[in-house]
Amino acid sequence: MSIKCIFYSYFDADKGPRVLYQVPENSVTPSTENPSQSPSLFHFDKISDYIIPKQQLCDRLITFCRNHYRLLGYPICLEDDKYDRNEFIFNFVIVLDESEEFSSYKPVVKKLARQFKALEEQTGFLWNEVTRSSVYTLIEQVMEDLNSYCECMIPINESNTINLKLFPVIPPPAPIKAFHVPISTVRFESIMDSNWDLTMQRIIPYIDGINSVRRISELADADYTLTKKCISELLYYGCIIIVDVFRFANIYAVNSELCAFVNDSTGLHEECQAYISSTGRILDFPSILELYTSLRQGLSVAEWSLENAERLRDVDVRRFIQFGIIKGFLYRVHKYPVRIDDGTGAVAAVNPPLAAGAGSAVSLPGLMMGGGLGGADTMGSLVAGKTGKSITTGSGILMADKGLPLLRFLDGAHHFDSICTDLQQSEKEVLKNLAAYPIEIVDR
Amino acid sequence: MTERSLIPNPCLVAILLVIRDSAGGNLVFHYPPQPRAEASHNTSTWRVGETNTDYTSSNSSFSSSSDEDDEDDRKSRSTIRIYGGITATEKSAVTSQRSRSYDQRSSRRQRDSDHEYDEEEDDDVEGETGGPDWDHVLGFRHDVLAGLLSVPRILSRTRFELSVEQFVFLGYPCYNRADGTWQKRKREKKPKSDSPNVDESKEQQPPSDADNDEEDTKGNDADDEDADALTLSRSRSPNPPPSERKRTKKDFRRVVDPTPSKLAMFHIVFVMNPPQLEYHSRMSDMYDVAKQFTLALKTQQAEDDYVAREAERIIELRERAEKRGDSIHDLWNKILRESTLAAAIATLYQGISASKIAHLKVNDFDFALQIPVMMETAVLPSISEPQLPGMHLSTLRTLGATPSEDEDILLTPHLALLFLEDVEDIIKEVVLDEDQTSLGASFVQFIQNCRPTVSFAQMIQESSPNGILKPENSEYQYVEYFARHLIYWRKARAIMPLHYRRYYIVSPNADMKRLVSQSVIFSKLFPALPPLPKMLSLLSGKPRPYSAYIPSRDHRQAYMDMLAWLMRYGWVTNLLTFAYLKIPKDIKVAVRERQAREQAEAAVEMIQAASMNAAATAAPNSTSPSVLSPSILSTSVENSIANGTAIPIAKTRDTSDDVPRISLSADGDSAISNSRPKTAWSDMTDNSNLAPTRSIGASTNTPTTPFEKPALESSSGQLEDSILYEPSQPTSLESAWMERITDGQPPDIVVLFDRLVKYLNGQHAIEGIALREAISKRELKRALNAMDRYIVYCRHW
Repeated sequence: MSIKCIFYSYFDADKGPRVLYQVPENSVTPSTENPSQSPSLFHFDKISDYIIPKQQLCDRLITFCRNHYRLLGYPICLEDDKYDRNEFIFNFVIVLDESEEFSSYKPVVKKLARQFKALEEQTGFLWNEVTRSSVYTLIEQVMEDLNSYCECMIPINESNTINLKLFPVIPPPAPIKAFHVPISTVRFESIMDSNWDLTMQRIIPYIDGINSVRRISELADADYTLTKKCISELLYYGCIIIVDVFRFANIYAVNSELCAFVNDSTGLHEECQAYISSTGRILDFPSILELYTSLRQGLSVAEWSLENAERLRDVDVRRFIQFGIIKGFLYRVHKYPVRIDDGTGAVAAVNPPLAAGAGSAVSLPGLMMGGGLGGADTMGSLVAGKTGKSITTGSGILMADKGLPLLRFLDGAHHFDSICTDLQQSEKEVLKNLAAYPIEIVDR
Repeated sequence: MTERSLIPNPCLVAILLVIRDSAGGNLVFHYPPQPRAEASHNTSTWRVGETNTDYTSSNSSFSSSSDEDDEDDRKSRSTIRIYGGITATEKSAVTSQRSRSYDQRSSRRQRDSDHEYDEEEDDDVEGETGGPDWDHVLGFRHDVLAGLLSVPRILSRTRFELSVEQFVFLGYPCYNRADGTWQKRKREKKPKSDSPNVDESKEQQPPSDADNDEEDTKGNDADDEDADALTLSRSRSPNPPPSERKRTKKDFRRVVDPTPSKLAMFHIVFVMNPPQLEYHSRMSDMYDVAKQFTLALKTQQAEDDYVAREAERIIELRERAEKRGDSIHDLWNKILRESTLAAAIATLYQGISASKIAHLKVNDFDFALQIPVMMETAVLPSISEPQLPGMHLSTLRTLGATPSEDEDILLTPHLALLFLEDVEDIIKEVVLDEDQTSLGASFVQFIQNCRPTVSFAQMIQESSPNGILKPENSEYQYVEYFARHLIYWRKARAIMPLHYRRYYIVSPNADMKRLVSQSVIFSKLFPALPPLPKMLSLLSGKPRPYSAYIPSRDHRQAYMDMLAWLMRYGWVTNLLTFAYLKIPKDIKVAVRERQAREQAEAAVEMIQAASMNAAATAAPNSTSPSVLSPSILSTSVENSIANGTAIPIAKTRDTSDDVPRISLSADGDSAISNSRPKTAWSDMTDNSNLAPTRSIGASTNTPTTPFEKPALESSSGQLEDSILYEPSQPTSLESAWMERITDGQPPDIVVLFDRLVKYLNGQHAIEGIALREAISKRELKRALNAMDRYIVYCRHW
């Protein structure tokens, strides 16, 4: 990534839009000695409207594409009696390749423009012919430094310095959920100091690859929302990765990324061998592969461990699973409890006030079509908690009271991890509370 | 960073129609009537169809600066006509005042939350009547936008991309010819040197203008070339279907009266607001649409001045409405009713901004435009990646909308088409404006014949039993053309034909949020079958062949129909089997021993030959019997033969420049082979002074040259089981291993296995091999079973 050219242009009262300085020379206007020779990038004159625009468009970031180059400018318009026509429009334009990722240049262009605006307002830096002669050196320096070091610090006078830096744009982090488990990728103790955010300092000791976000906030006695924000921040900067809660009842299976892992030649196999070993003894790779491929849908880790007890002697099962999850060739098969309607077997609509808007909107017509009287009954039982089939079974009323908060999770869109962390109950407890309701469990 | 996101997000804010005529530039029409910057954020980065609230706040307070503008300044400013825009005199003081209040209002809105915004907008619409409503678009003054977008002629027929703060204006401006006409002159009548493009460039540009870059000029020519026979498929789309390509106007090339149009330029501008990190891919997607739409309009303009007429009509309506003081909604409704171009722009906006297909009709010319969407993915997004619920999962390299190198041409005839809509609806759409051509009829027939359980090959064989199935087969070409067409227009997806013996699992990418609504549809469609949650629950266990869920033979058809439905909505995915080739330790040991023996024998021959040829072969410096080096080979070989020790494999590889392929274990035999020079044995005879390379007894070896390092590893390294990962391009050592594992097998198995071995790299579904290689499933099974000890299976989609 590099800047192809920086030029300074302004509106000349007599000659119209002009380019005064450009680095390198003759990039956008022909040279004076040899006017017939084309400028190396594009012709400024043809597109000057988009560089020195009308006043209404000044003070805005304007980019324009021409000849497979992208021009980034931030035209500034100053008004003062001293200028011809009472105004002065100028623009410092950075030229990049059109295909270049340019987002990190946008704040730079903006800052550069505002800095020169301030200079002009303070001392007439650009209007004064003596001071403006240094502009060429300045933009040359900016271009060189940004291209070589991605930052620059150029003093102009005792009170002004051009400080610019290109910051990479990082995609926003995934939304953090209560059941997510963060694993650190850095040694926090070595980078953290007392200036760090207080919540951050509290929660970091509990980031161990086992605790869920919810659990971390409890253990650290920190506010859950703040904890989530901190985790999100850590994820954004790549200090952690997110995995799921590991339990022996979980189900895992390989996915299509396995091939990349097997064909890896960058030392992933050795890394895996070292990571999963609990005793220091190294398992050979084909055995590891066979172990991974023997994980499958419908088979819990506990059952799998029994089946492969012999080969797993030297293996830390949790780390074995975690390695696959982290490297992305293993996926977790989640369990989704779905409450079904006794009569029709369709998904029973749950419509408490807390349910998500979209889900409940579709479920209402669904009820009408799906079950007629039976559906309406169930509905009533859930909301009112007085009548209906589910209540009549066993200790119905008690169940309903206990079950009610969890019934809204049973539309099929929530897996057990999410339900358990939200209700802060174990899967067993949840299942016990659900015993009175007809449910199907879908593994996905 | 800028990689293509699989989540469709058109980022479209508005579509504008800008023209330039003798009166200057004019923004004639825009849709929607009151575009909102937020409109583009209707899709989340994280999940398809989930409204995103986290990132909308990043919209900058864009129009705030104009609030502070002094009104007088603005008026005086607008009298300077830098751009050929509307003259300032057209603006009355009243309108300026109104527009000012609009500015303030809009800036206030931006501070408000989305919710309040909605309410307020409604209030405005009802509370305010009068023309100036449309004097501001996206916070810009109408004439400013018109000036900005009625581009100079130099930018004609090039990609136009301008951004002002968060808005990007994208388009493909079209100017008339230098003589003021739009009609393309017949090539035959004009010598090539006098082509319109040359005229244009001569007139508009100094002779050596770098701006007139080669590519654009070529592009212009190309556009002119096919402007008459416009195919709307310049970039990625395949040819539209007979139905959509059809023209209702028969007198296509009728003589157009040669008077120049008043219209000098028109420019359809797509205003977008793409997320920073997806900027390039979103823009290039939209550019395809913009260019296709513009080219379609250009053809119509050339034919009978269509764009000019429509623009005139719209301007007239606007002027009338302004006089009467109509509300913007009344005016826009009127425009949409009376102008087919405006209606087309509205349809285009609604379709594209919803990531749907826009069916357009301009000047009786029917066509459809879309931004193609991904319909399947091989990779399941991880927990911290953007989710794609409902998207079909498959690693099969199936048929795409356009032919690509990724496709497996041997496999594609054995795929089937799974319709994503009801067949009747698709046929209806085709028949709707059917023009009775034989192509259209066979297209309908094809759609009717398609079954998700029947591959293309089987289809062809059914219709013509003696048809030989080859990709070159003309009948197959038609089938493929139709299939691609349906895939491009999102009507179908290519899949491995459904079969009750295959394995299907609940797709890890299934959209559980749709369970409630879909279970209702499901129970209506399949009332006799178990309900959807029950079915999914059944499919949740350990993978079993689908037949295990079918209670009886009579149920089979119904269950297969249900399976097709489940596949269509991404509830289930086909579990395929992949295989890796494992080389156990004992094979390696055996090969090593045999090679050592062979080497020794070869060496003996070599010595005999060498001693006949040259005297310099035997160097008397070898003292240790276990040291082997090419230079002293004769001695060492003699020694080793004498001692009966094995000689390490030296001639292993034919190519020395290959990257190491086996790094699976600490097995060094391949590593040494990598670093060995080519044809070590033949080299040796001429070049007998090579440095010593290795010794056998590992402990006695002291490396002295870089050459020896791998040698050390090889001889000291434990032989271990390993996975072979490119069995189709084996090193000679690997070939020896593969040969060894088939030892003792019947010859037919050996032959078969040789054919199969290239698939054992974990990238080919076993289910596709029999079809691809045209061998029977039984044979395949027999061969694989025979070699079972050496194969590691894994199952995913």
